[in-house]
Amino acid sequence: MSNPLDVGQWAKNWEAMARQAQAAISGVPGQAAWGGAATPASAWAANSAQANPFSGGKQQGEAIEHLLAGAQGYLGMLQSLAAAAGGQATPAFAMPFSAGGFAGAFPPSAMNNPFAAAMRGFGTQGASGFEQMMEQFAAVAGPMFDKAKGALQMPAFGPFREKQENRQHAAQVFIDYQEQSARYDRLMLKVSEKAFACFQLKLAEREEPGRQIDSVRGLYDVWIDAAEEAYAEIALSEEFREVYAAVVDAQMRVRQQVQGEIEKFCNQLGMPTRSEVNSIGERLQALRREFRAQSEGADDAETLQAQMAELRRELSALKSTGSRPSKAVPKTKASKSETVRKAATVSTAASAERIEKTGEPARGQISPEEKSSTRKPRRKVAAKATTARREKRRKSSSVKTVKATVAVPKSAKARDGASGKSGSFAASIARFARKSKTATTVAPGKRAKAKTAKRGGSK
Amino acid sequence: MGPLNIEPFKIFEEAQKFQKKMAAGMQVLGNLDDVEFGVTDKEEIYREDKLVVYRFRGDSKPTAKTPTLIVYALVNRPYMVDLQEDKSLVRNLLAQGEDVYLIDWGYPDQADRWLTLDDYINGYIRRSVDAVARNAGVKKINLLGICQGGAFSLCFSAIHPHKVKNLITMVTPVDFHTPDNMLSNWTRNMDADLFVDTIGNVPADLMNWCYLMLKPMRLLQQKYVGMVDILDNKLELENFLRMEKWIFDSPDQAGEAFRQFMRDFYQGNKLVKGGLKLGKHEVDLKNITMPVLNIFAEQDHLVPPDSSRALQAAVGSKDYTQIAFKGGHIGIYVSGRAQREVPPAIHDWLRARA
Repeated sequence: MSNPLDVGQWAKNWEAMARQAQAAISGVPGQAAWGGAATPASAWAANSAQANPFSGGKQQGEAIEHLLAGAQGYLGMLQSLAAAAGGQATPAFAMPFSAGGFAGAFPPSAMNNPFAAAMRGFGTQGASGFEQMMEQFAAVAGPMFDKAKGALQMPAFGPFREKQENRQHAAQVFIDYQEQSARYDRLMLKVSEKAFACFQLKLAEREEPGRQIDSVRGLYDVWIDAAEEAYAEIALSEEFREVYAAVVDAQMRVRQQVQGEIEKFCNQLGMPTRSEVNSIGERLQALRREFRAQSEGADDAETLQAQMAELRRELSALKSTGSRPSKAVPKTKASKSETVRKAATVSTAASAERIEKTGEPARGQISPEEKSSTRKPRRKVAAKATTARREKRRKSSSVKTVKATVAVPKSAKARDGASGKSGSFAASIARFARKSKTATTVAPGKRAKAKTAKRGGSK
Repeated sequence: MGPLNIEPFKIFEEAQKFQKKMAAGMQVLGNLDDVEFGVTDKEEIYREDKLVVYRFRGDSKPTAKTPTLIVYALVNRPYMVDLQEDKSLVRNLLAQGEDVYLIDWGYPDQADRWLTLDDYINGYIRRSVDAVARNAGVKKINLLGICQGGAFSLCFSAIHPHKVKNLITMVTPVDFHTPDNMLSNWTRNMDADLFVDTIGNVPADLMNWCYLMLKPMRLLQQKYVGMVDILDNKLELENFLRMEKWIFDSPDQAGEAFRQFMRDFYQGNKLVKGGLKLGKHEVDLKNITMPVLNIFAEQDHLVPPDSSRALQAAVGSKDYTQIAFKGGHIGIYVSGRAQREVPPAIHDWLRARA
C-alpha cells in the first residue's frame, strides 16, 4: 500500500479553491473562478463539442452543458488530484485541461457548491427571472437607497404624498430582501464549513487498512456524503426555518411591490391587469361552485322523487292486495317504507305537540270569526317584519310556525281589549296604533315629517 | 497510513475512462429517440375541466369485482405508476386481476387559480369516484392514494366513508410535523398568504427546485456523474432520461389549493391534530373505518416514514395493515424490488377483503 499524495495538503488546497469558487458564485467581486469562460461547464462543453466528431460542433452542446454542470464537482476533484499526483510535470492526460477552452475550467470550481446559489435559484426557477427583475428594480430604486436610507421612516406629505410613500415602501422592501438574502448566504457558508469539517472526519475514518479510498470517484462520493450530512443538519434546524421563511417572505414583498408598479403602469395605458383577471377568475369559480351545488341538489331531489314514487307504487300495491309485504320485497326497500312511515308518524306527533304547547287550535276547529281574527294580526306582523326576519322565516319553517302562533294570541288579546274597554288605557293605545297606521301610509317624501310630528305629539 | 490509496496511474485511467464515456455518450445521445412513457392501454371514462379518469386495460379481463381508483398527487404527473413496461405498478396490478382506474389531473393554468381543496376532494375526487362506481356497476370502490393524493384520499374517505370499500395509501404524509420532515421545516414559518397572493399558481419549476434542494449535492451533482457511467448504454440511458422527463414534467399548482395545503397540512398539521375543514365538511380520520393498507418507503426523503406511520393511531379502522418498503419515494414504483413486492402485496390484501 502506498500513499502517493500528501492528503492533508491536498485537502487544504482543494478547500481553498472551493472557497474561491464559492465566493465567485456568491457574487463577491474578484477574478472569475473559471477564467474567460462563462461557466466551467460551458468551457468544457465548447471544447467537447469541438473535439467530438459526431457532435457537428454544436448538436449536443446544451445536453453536455447540463451534464457537466452537474459533474463539475467530480471533474474538479479529478483534476486537482491529478495535478497533485503529477507534481510539476503536467501529465499527458491533463494537457487538454490546460489548453484552449479548458484553461482554468475546473480547478477553482471543483466544489461548485449549489448551496450558495440556492436562494438565487429559488428566485429564478419558474418565477420569471427574478434576478433580472431585481436588477431592473435596483436600477430605478438604487439611487434612492444610497441617498436616503435614513429617511425611509419619515412621513410623506404634500401633493405627491402617495408616490413618495410608495417609493419609501419600495426601498424598504428591497433593503429588507438584501438583508435577508445576506443572512441566508451566511447560513449557507456555515453549511460549507460544516461540510469540510465533516469531510475531514470521514476521511479520518478511512485511514484503517482495507477502508482506504482507492479512486477519485470514491473520494468524490465521500465528499457528497459529507456535504449532504452537513446540509441536512442545518436545513432541519430552527434557525434555517426562520431564515428561510424570512428570505422567501422578503422576496415575495419585493415581487408584490414590483407587480404593483406594473399594474399602475398598465392601468395608465388602459391595459387589463393580473388583479382584474384574478377578480374575474375568483368570481367565476364561485359561480361554478354555486351552479354545481344547485345542479347536484336538483339531481338529489330527482333521486328522492323517484324513490318516493317507487314507495307510493309499493304502498298502493300493498293496499290493493290488502296483505303484508311479501318476503320477496327487498329488505332495504321495506325498511325504507318503514322509515317513511315512522317519519310521518313523528311529524304528525310533533305537530300535535307544537299545537299543545302554543295553544293554537287545529285549523278545522276555528270559527269563521276566529279565522279572520287570526289572519289579520298575521298580516300585521308580516307588514312590520324586517327583511331580515322575513329571510329568517323563509329559511326555517319551524321558526315561522312558532313565531306566527305566538303572535296570534297577543294580537287577539289586544283587539279584544280595544273593543271591550274603549275608555281604558288599552283603548287609547289602540287609537294611537290606528294613527300610526295612517302615518305610515303617507307618501314616502313626507314620511319623515309625519314621524317627527308624531313624535312631537306624543311628547 | 492515510485515507487515500490512489495510485497516480489510476487517476489517469479514471480520467481517460471518463473522457471515453463522454465521447461514446455523444453518439448515443445523438441517436436516441424521444422517450415514451405510459405504456398500458387505457380508455377515458370521465372528463371534467382538465381532469380525466382512465380505466386501464390488461391482457385479460379483471377478476376483481371492486375497481381500484388511483389518486395521484397534484405535484407530479401520474404516469409514474405506468412509466415503462418493466416498471409499471398499473401493469402488475392488472396482471394480478385488479380493475385499475386513475385520475389524471392535467396541467392547471390560471383559470384553475381559485380551485380549493374542497373543489379537488369533495368535487373532482367525489365525482371521479362516482364515475368509476357507475362504470363498474358497484356502490363502493377501492381507493389507492399516492403521496399528496394519499392525503386527499384520507380526507375523502373520512368525509365519504360510504363510498370507499378499501383504502390504500402509498408514501402518504399524515403527520407533517415529524422532526425529519425537511419540507415541513422550510414551510412552517412562511407566510402562505403572502406567497400565494404574490405568485398565484405556484410554478412547477419552483416546486422542482425546492425538491432538488432537499438533497442538492446528490440531485444536482452526483446524479449526473452517475449518468456518465451509463452514457454508452442506450437502454439505461433511456431509462434515465425517462425518469428525468417525469421529474421535471410537473404541473403548476393551483394557488388556493396550495395555500390551504401549506397552511392546514404543513403548518397546522390538522390532518392528525384535527380541525381540518374542507368546505362544509370537517375531516376526522376516525371516520375511516374501512380496511386500510398503508405502504411507505423506509428511505423516503420527501415523506419520512414516521410521517406515514402516524396513520395507524389516527384512523378509526380496526383492520389496519402497514408495509415498510426498503427503498425511496420513487423507488417504491420503479425499482426491481418494487415490481416484485408491491403489486402482489396490494392484490393479496385486497383479495382478502373482496
